[in-house]
Amino acid sequence: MEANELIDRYIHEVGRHLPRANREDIKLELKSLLLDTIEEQTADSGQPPTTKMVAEYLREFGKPEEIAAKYGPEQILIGNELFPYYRVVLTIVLVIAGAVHLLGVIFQFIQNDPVNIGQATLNLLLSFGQTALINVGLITLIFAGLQRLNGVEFKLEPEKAADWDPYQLPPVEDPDRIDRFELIAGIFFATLFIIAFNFFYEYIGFIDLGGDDRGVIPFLSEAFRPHVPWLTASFALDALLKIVVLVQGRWNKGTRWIQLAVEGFGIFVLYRIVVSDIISTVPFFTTMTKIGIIVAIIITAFEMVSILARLLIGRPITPKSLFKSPMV
Amino acid sequence: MPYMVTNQEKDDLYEKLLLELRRGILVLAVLSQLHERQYGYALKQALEDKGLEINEGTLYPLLRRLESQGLLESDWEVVDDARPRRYYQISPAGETIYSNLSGEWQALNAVMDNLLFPSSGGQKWKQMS
Repeated sequence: MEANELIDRYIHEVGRHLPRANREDIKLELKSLLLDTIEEQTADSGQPPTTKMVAEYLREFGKPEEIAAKYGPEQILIGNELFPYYRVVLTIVLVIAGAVHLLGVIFQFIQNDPVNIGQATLNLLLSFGQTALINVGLITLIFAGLQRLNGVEFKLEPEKAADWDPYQLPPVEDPDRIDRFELIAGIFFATLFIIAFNFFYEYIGFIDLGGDDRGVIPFLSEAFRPHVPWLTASFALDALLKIVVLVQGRWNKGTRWIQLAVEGFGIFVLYRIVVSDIISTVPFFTTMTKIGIIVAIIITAFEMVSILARLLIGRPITPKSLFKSPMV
Repeated sequence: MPYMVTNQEKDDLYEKLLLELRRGILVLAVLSQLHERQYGYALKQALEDKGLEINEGTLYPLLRRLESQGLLESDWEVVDDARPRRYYQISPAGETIYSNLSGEWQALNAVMDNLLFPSSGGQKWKQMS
């Protein structure tokens, strides 16, 4: 790993734990300060900094979570030392609660066919909201109690420099970097589905190995056929977008907004299928397919929320854009 | 039976108390060096040159905190086409507080001197420092 890569990973990791409001500004300043020190330390030798030297310096500088906690606002209920741990526990508990609720809905779907998807989603949200509220309250209470242990405040032992390893820092995520393999695979499968649904509709099914003529038993019922043009449009839009991104070599704001629209359209198409009566010639497979589609809708919706959040909140700030701001 | 403190516990406790003692004076020390604008690393060097070693992981967040409290002002600047640096300087409100705190420090110093070294009239303290 290069020395610069290690610095970038460190800054990124600190940034993950910083309040969003001035995250980019602190990251920029921290980078400038770290580079100042590292440059000064290597000034005598005239050699560029080595990864080992940078790692040693970062180890001394402090664990990313702890540095971020020092930058954060003074927490009154739960102090800065405990706050990062409070956040981790809260995240784990809420993720588990969310997963359990999701599984509950899927089981409900399997047992009561057909289930009203709107009602099930509303129940899921209400029940999850209630559980989340209780858990947040309990965890906050426990941490606030911990904070007040040992007299006035609870302080964690200062972390020894050797207790954390800069080489273990995760790589900086670049959400706009493209994965060529993923894009090409996506285009390939979208094309494959378009061809299959439009030209080999009757051949999508099971091969009857038991019979004498060994014919194909169609999987999709005739009632499903009106969905084919919608699916074709959805797959075609998706493939087209992926081709554009592949040619451009990187995701950008424009293509991300188009992706949101394409995925929104995809959810609409899938929703129409879920609320339709019959998909497969075999009732059991209609249920199974619907479960699969609901999972796909939920995953796509989560992806859309994350893209939307990045587009609206996570604006990238460069030094150039910073100096154009009224702050300077 | 009284609780026996191990050497390790004694060392840890000492480190903790020393940290708290130093924490109290850091704000005053930082304010004292920012009558002229400086960027983080230069400030660290200035403090070290005058005998105050400070961990950068403590100093840099402290600067932001003092700024958010209105005691410091800051701006970004690019000098000689180098990378941008954030420069800090004491604010008018910071000057007032610094002046008051300095007076308090001198008074406290005199009191502590008498408390710690009553027989020598505080002379030992002066010799040590």
